[in-house]
Amino acid sequence: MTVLVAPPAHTRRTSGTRQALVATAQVRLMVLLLLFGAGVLVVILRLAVLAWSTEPATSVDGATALVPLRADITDRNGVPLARTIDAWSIGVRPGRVINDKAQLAGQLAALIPERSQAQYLAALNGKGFFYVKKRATPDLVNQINALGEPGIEFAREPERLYPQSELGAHVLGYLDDQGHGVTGMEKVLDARLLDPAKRGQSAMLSIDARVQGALENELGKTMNDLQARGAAGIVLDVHTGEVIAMTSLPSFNPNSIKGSPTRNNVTQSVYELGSTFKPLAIAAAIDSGTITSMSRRFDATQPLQVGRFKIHDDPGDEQFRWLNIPETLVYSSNIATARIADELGADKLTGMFRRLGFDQKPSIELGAVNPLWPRAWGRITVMTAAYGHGIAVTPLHLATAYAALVNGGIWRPATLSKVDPAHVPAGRRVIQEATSARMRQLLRLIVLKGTGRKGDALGYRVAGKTGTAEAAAEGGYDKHRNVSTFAAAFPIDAPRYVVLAMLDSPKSNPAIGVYRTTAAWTAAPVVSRLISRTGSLLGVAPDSHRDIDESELLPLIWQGTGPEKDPE
Amino acid sequence: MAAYGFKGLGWFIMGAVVGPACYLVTSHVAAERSRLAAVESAIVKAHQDIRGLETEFDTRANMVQLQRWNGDFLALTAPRPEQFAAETSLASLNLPVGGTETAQLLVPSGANPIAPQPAVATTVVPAAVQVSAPAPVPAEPAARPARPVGPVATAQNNTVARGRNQAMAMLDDKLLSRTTIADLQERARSELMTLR
Repeated sequence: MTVLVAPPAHTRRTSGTRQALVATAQVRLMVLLLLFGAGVLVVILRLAVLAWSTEPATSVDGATALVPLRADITDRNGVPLARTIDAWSIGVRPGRVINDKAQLAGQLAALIPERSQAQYLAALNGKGFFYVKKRATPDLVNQINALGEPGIEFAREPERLYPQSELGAHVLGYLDDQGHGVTGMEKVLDARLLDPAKRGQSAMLSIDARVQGALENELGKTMNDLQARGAAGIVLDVHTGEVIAMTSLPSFNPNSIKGSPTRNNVTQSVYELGSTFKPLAIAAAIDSGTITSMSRRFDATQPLQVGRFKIHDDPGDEQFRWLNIPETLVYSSNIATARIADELGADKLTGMFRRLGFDQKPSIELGAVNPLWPRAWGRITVMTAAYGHGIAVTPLHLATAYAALVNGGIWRPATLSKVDPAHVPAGRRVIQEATSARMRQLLRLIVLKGTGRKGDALGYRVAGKTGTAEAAAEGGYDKHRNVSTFAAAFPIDAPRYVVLAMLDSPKSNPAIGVYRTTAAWTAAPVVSRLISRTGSLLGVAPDSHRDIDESELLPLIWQGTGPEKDPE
Repeated sequence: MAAYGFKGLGWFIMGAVVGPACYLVTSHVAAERSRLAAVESAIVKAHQDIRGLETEFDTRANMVQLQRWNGDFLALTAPRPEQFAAETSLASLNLPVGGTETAQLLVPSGANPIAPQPAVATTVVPAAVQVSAPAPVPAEPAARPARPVGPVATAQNNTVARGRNQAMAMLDDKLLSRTTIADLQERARSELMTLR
């Protein structure tokens, strides 16, 4: 039983001060209530704003995570040549290191021997964040993580990786620290590769990685065997100007650039390419009507004296007789070529060279140098230029010129971008169709009967011309160094590709059967092996029963009575 | 008056039932949506993994490495013109009745005495065409000692699971002879030793 005791109501009612207190309390309560209400309202409003304004985090990530920061580069068949991947990077914040710094430096030096212990210690005693290793393998990340040092940080950072490492290094180029291309197609395509709209799609080059690999392998092997200073090689599509393979050795590894890389000898070095120019001079003579008959003979009985300059034939190749046009090329006679050029004249020869672009930089996306074009075209200059001396061009110049020589006479610029077969550049006509057909016969004859015999690949109908020039040294020629070139086209009955191999200063190596340093012994076998390896990959079916018709020209080559002399 | 009171109660009950039901639906949708997001992020992750693995595979199987195996180790040479068959000669290729000699492709199982299936005969044509592959592998059936000729492709006739396992396990046998694999393993071991 509870008893409620309450003061009588009238006592409160009568107290005026008490009533005032109640009133203020009520006002305060009201204010507090309003404050709480306002607070809740603020929270609700904020929640509403958040609910309306933000998007789910995943929808943004999903779309962008698959688009690389820089587009991939692939070859013509989609084989990746350059990719951007998330690689592990390891960095150190010296301020957060808690272990003994000298000991940590020792451990780092043991795991990553790129820097010494002293260098690591110096960096650790510094203040700023520094990278220990970029593009680290997961294995190394595990090992470093096992050190248990909180000052070491791991992050996934986008890195450019070249899966084929040295393959096509000069074509691809490499990136600087800011992620922009320094050389090669990385530089040429920089804007396109970084364009957010296009970087989802990979950029396709005209290169075929398989052919590129074979070219680098064959050239590199020969370069090592013959201790050459350098080598260069190109495979060019004669109908589109696409570069199927291009290499310059020694090369570099774009994955780890040390110092400044070697230059691209295909576009950035000029050479006097020697006898490989003879077909160009003869094509000019046939095309301009200077020579109308293949059987016309030129005196090559003795060296040609022009002023105080004497033109010899290469020792071993002298014929000491009058030579007709096929024989001039087959025996690679400087004297006969000089006589033809003399009759041709400076205007027609330079006209031909200009049409082939020998007076300007080679036409390609990559950085290139100007050829050495003679200042004055005197009589001697015309004669020597006809057999490739006194004028220096890049190997790419010669390859595009040979493409025009065999493809029916249309010159097209070389390109490293894949060409749509429906939109082949029109090009420009440099020689007549008939001249081109004649040149195909003549070039094939050189491989069948002349200096290019070691360049033949069974079944692939190779045609080409060797060229051996003395290397230019300071103030003259170095008699002991050759630049050996073989420029070839195949299959010559329906030409599709031009292959050029060049070796700078090869040495003879009797151990592997190379007795001389001329192109026939050094560069031609490279082309032969390359075509045997890659001809079928390029869609040329070998056929021993097919060949170009040589019935017109074969009788013109004099077969001596004695045992046939080896023209190599 | 009573009706008015019940009307209020009715509204209240309706709110009490429909409100949670609506909430149930929205929360279910939200759960589905988050699961979808999880799947999507898993797909993205898988794509990234695929890309990473592809890159690793390409890097490990780059042209230099293939050249090392094909050229330096296996000493393969380019195929000769007579090893290529023109399209016309392929069409007129006359296969003997009852299958051809495909000793190098037979799987020695001995477990299942079932007659060879004639379908195997068709494998001859790809083998001939294969010569144009990037690393041309010269056919070497003659050089290899005849292996025990067993039933072919018996795996299909067994239970599916067992057949698949067997096929996987015997893939190596089909591609390379035992001696070659032994050579490869020895080579790999010596490479490992030199790396250390």
